[in-house]
Amino acid sequence: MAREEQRKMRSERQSGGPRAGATTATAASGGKTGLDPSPPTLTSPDILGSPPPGRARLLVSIFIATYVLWQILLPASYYLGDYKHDERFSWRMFSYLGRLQKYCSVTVRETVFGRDPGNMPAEGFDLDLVAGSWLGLLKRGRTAVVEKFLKQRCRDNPSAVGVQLLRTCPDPSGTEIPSGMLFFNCKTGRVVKSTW
Amino acid sequence: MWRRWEEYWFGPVAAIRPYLLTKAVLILLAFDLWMVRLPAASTRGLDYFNVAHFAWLDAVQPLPDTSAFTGILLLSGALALFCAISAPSFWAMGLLALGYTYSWAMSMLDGYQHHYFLSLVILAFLFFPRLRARDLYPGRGGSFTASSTSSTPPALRRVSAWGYVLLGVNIAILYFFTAITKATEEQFVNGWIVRRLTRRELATRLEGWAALIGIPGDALWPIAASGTIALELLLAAAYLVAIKQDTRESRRLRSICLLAFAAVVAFHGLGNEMLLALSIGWFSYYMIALGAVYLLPENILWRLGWLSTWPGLRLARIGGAVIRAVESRKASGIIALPMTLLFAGTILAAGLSLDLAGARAVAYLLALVVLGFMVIGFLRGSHAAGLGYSLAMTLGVLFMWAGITFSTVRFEYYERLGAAHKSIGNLAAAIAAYEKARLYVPLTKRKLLTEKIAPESLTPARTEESFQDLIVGADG
Repeated sequence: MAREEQRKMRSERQSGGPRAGATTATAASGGKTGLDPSPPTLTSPDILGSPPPGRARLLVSIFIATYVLWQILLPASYYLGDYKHDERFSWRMFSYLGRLQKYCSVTVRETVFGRDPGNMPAEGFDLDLVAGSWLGLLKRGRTAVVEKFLKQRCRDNPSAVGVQLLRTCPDPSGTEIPSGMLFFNCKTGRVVKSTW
Repeated sequence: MWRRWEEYWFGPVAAIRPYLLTKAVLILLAFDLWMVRLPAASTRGLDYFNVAHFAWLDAVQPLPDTSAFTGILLLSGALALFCAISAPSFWAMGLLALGYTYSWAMSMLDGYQHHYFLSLVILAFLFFPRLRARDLYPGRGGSFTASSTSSTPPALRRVSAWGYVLLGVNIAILYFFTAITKATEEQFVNGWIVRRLTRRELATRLEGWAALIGIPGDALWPIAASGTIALELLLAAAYLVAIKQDTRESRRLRSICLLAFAAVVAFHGLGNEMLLALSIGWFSYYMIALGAVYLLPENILWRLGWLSTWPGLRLARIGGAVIRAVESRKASGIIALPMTLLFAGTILAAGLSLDLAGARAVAYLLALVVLGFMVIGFLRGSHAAGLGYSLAMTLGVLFMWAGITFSTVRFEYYERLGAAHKSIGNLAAAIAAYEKARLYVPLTKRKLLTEKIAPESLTPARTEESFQDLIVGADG
């Protein structure tokens, strides 16, 4: 009797209240709910935490199904989509693309009002200094980073009418090939992408 | 169908599994945050530019800086250890999930997928049953109330833990997709990537050994690549079925789980940590801990749990008298107030002595939290729980202090800061950072620091004489 009380108390403590505890105790012992978690060899398992009762279990089931679906669709969307630069959330650890992107290089050109577009690094701005630790992500072609970076260049240089980022990456033979251009119009905010 | 669904998600698992998993991952996480991620925090914000992982986060957050980022790492680590030591509430774990997720989501500079994975792990912990050592090992000396004594053998203790099952399925999905990545890339299948990832000297040696048994060098790497894909698919399947190993008396199932655990150790331990030249932090150790809990037979885990909970339960027995005294009304105010002040003072002293950006704010915040526990105790008329939580928080902060103080973390922190300033031409700030680094320079790195702050590289910023001071100091 005393042991039965102890078990009930523990069940209540785990499930957050006497009512839930009573229901879940039934579930745990394979009663009304039809759930029979006790394996035949374990005749008297001491259930420390019980399944959620009745409707709560249905809600939890819906949550589980949604979560699992989300966890499957999120990485699957990488394979179904067109944009391959961004491998985040798709469990593509040590992919060839990820390794290749490390060796890409980028050039930034600012079109200044009244002048021909110039290659800005040649005119004295060092991309390493300007982009700092973000240079790696520019090389990887992360659109959000590139767009924000180009916007920032427009803000930092009021005479610029447009900023362009060119990206080249080595192919498997090691030959550098153009692999993207993104132009940001400082006046209109329009973004033009090519082979991005 | 519905019955099978319910049996899979809500059926019982050995209670020791979710218990050990929570403790192991949270302890690893705390030290991972302090020892591995903290040094990189010193340079965050120097670019005055940031892009978060999510556009909505970019829209609402201020530009992250060194103090904020360092503070979040310190705080998340302290919270992780607090949750590991105590039986945390849903809210404490929720706060940890938020803090940790924000620590990587705030900036795309952190692109490690295993940080995202750990957020999913902590999210699953939110739905784990709240188990205490005294529930699992009653009568071992940690109990203060009669209700927790039971004669049920530990090996029969079961728990319905859908959060634990969900995490197992999540890990299976991870292994599956990571195998898909490899299987769909020609450069992986033909062994090119495995060859590049293997330490150079070792690769040559392996090719030599393979040639001895008649496998030509160019055939070795495709075999290794295919083996990796097969192994990851095996692990995906093993995690899905391992969840049932406590309820099904199946020798075949147990054998699969044991084989899978051996594969986990070989793949993450031997492969990733010893053979390959990877920079993935402590990811392998997390995966080995997860593998041990999900795949090993429960009797091994019960023994491991018995050993690991012994100090805590022993401490609880010793502290039992104090707790009982606090619970009695007469003594509650007399004991609770000075103990709380002692805890808050310890937290402040430890936090303020860390000498890291943001550490001061974290120390004040956590001291306030401890005082908050006491206020709640006064309002409720019971101080026992509040003091327990305060003790857990204090221990968490003390471990943080010890981990940072007795390691090279602060040296690396300031050394990276110095290097970052130097690279952008900010020489005065670089020297200030290197001077800080000098305070924490480990014996083995003294020569390295001396080279980094060599006069010829930084002379515009300070005089020759003061450089000499710095170098002499670094040489010690």
